[in-house]
Amino acid sequence: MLNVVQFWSGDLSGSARPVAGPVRLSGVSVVRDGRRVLRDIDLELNDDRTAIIGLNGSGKSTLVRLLNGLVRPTAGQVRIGDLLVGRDDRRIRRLVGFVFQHPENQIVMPVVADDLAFGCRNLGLPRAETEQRITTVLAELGLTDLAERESHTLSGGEKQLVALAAVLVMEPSLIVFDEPTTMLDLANRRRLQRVIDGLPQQAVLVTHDLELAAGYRRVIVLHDGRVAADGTPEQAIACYRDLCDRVFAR
Amino acid sequence: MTTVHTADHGTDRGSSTRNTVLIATFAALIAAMGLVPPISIGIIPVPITLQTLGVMLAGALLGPVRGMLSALIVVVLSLCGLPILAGGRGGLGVLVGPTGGYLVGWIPGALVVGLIVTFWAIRRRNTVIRYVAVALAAMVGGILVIYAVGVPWTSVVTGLPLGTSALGSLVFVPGDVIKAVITALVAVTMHRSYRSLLG
Amino acid sequence: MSGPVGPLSRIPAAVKLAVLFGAGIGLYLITWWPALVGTLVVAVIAVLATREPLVRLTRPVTGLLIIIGAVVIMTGLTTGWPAARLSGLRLMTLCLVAYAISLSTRFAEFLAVVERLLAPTARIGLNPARISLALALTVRFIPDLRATYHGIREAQYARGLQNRPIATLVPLIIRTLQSADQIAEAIDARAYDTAHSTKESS
Repeated sequence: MLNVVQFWSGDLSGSARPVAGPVRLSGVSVVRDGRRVLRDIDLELNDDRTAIIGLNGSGKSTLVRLLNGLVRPTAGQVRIGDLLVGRDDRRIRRLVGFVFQHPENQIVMPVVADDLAFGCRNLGLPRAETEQRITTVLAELGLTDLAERESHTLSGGEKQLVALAAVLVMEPSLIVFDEPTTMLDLANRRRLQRVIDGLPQQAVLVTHDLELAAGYRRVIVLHDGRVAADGTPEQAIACYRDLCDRVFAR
Repeated sequence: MTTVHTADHGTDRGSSTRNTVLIATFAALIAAMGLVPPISIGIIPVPITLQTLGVMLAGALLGPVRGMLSALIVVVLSLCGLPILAGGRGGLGVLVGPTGGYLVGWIPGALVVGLIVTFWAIRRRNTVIRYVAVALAAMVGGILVIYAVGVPWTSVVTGLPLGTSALGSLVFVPGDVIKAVITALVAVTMHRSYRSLLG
Repeated sequence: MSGPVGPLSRIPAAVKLAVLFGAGIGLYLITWWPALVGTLVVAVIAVLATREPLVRLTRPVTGLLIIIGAVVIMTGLTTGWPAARLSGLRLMTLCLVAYAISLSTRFAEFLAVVERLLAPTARIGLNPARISLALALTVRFIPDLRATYHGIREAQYARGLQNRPIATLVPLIIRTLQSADQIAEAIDARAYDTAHSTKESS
């Protein structure tokens, strides 16, 4: 199977991968379209694996979009190490990779290998290193055969793995996953899950898949823009079920 | 929560990226509209295609500059040989052929539709007048301007007199008027639900 | 899918485009019809040199013959048959030359020429990198939009709403806008915007 860990502990670029440092949200609120999506959030995300669950509209997607400046806080501060979201977005986006829900809308180049090269070009990497990184990452994810494929001919599961590969070639130190398995069938879900589990990077994962969340060390439940629970999967999932029941009872 | 995160969500990130993507996706939309098989009517072989509807919509929904750039991209890509014009045509042959002007005319056509819609038509207060105004804008840009390029082009390429070329193009006017009306119906509806579209 | 073959495919795309441009002007300078027959023969040889299977040539060439035939008849009836003969030969030659060039050149080569032509636009404030991104994005998303269009059409048929252009177009455009937002977000997340500005935005 995949041996992602061994690959990532290797030294590809000749320089050590930058460390993101602790992720800190202090007093963060986000207002969009006149609605408070997040209210006064204080959080520190240091564990190597954190899952975030919550009902639709609870603010999960907004919360994780704060981590690389796709959304900026209306109030409060988001820090990645000593970098500040809104001020250092350029450096933050090199540290924080993002895998989205819709596989098809993340692949922006007509051919797979070109898509992987896109991120490397944005980092300003030389051609030789770009090609080496692409070859290595595709091999590690078992996608070598897809290198020359036209993006639109990929299956949903393949697209999501290619999207992940396109993030991995940029060698981020934190990867955010926003419901990466929602559009996938069970087999592809398991496959992606196994790849994510093998990654050495710190990962923050938003999901509706409780089975997936149960495997994480720390699980946060968001409700109405607030942290409703934060702890072990057992505690958090119990709280989440409780919230669902209450919403139903209304 | 899922899907839509628009750029107006209290962030000022990457509006230029969003514009680039909007231009590209509308270009792809114009190209995708070439799916509907073309119908050739009359002696002058300009096929009726839904793609001019796409051009009118690009101007009416994205405004002059972005709309024009969408049309430009489709023209450039089709000349590069991508089979994206109605009926799977494409390549340089289209440009040097008798109908080349109707393709090149898309570029100023979308610009003019966008100009009239943005600065006049969409600002009409009365709903009925707004529909009529957008339809007029689509006719001026999508018919007058495109034909103003296409008719002389046919004459130059084929050596036909201007009058004959113009007369021949008249058969397409009814179809294009219908497209302009559709453009108005769609564009006014869309602008109502996506206020920030032109901004 | 294999790339173009034959002797023409080895000529740089820029040179071929220059030839077409020259032919577009040059052919109109020739007014002696036997000479145009000569150029037509050259054009036919050029098309055959692309080694495109004859079966695949029949459809586009038939289309071309119909269009040009119509033009010849119109010209013959309105201006006279000698003019019709000239104009038919010219058009046929030009279209075949263009066709031969298209067949013998990879799409990526054309794009490279376009990007090179666009490079000077940087001086007037345009961003060539952004333009080539837009071109690539368009190519990438045409098949996806076609699939979306088919999906919406199927849904309309299932509900018995045939031939309602508005009922097809509005959802198609809404989906296009939603995709555009997601694509822009994914591009920004991969450090695109930041790669092209030297200063931090604040």
